[in-house]
Amino acid sequence: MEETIEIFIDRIKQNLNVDTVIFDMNTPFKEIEKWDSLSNMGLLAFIDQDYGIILDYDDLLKYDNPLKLYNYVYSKK
Amino acid sequence: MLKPSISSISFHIPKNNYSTSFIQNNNKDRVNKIISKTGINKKFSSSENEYASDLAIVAAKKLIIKNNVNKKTIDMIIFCSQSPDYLIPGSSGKIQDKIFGKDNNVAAIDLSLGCSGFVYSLLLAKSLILGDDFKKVLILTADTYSKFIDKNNISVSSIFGDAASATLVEGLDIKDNEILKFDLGTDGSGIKDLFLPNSGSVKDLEKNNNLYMNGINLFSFTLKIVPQSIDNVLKKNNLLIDDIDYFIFHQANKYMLSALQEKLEISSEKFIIDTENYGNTTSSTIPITLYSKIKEGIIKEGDKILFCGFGVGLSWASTIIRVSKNLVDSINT
Repeated sequence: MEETIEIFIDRIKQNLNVDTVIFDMNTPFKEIEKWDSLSNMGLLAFIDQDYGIILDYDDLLKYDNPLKLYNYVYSKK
Repeated sequence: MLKPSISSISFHIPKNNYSTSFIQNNNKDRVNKIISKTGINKKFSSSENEYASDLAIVAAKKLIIKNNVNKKTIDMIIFCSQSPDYLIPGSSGKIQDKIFGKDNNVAAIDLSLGCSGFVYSLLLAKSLILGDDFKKVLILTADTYSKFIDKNNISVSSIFGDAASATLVEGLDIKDNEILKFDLGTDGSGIKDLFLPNSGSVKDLEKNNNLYMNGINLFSFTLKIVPQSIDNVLKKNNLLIDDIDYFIFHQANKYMLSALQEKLEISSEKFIIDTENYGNTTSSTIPITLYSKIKEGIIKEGDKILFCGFGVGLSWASTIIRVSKNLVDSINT
């Protein structure tokens, strides 16, 4: 069953150790507090490990907030 | 027919402190976070007038002296580097001159590859020996990326260190194959994911002259290609992943290696991560790690080791070796 966008965001928070940071589905990743280049790597590894999709640099530019990424991930599944 | 075997390895590290915490004085929290994630702090750089060819010459001399190798029996030098002294000519000629002098009956070539370069060189050495033209091939790997790096660019300067390695591959009258089959590949669409602008004939007007790295695309490439290559090389050798005693991948950084280890579901006992002492030394990481783990008594005679080099190019190369008694004895002597 498809997870909700809220659960998707929670899982990003847990996997990237930003669980105390407040952001919503429309917050650009690069504007999230504590987000840096290593966070992009972590996001890549998380999406590969949990959804079997390998993102690249252009994908991260295109799907630059949780909602866009969520929609992309579920369009590929 | 003689079978190719790795009979000895040596390496050389330059002296200058190039540790991340030493060259990065600002923003200590960020520096510490990067050191913790990459597993790299301690690393070394060459001096201003010390080049990759010089590091390779020292590594080669160490190997020759320690193992009492008769230089006249070495048929060929492969110098694998992307830090040449000049564009023209290659640096292998200088190495021949400094090591062999007037003994010029030795073939010498330059091979421009980085992180996959050691495994590529091993394939060349194996093929040359099996072709029956050569009996002893000396593989030299060396790079001095520190000369190309802007120290203020922490995503690049926190990764790479300078080093050289020397590996002697020789044809021996032995029963079993010790260097097994290979899987290699290239994806030139990623040529600019790790490259040195303005370093050749092309003028990259929009770039400065420092090493440029797109870490995200390299990570993406690695997650995609390395598991495929491991699968391919195991199949080519009719082996299963559980048949491998140790996995020595190019020691890019701890973060990347941990992601690969998790994806491939390999135990920490078998999957070697050894980035703490010298950093990412490009084509030298695999031979240095093999040497270190034999020296520490972890890798032993007869162990099957899977090598996988991946990176700049974009290029990858995997193979499996059986560790010979000669190699263990040579390192422990």
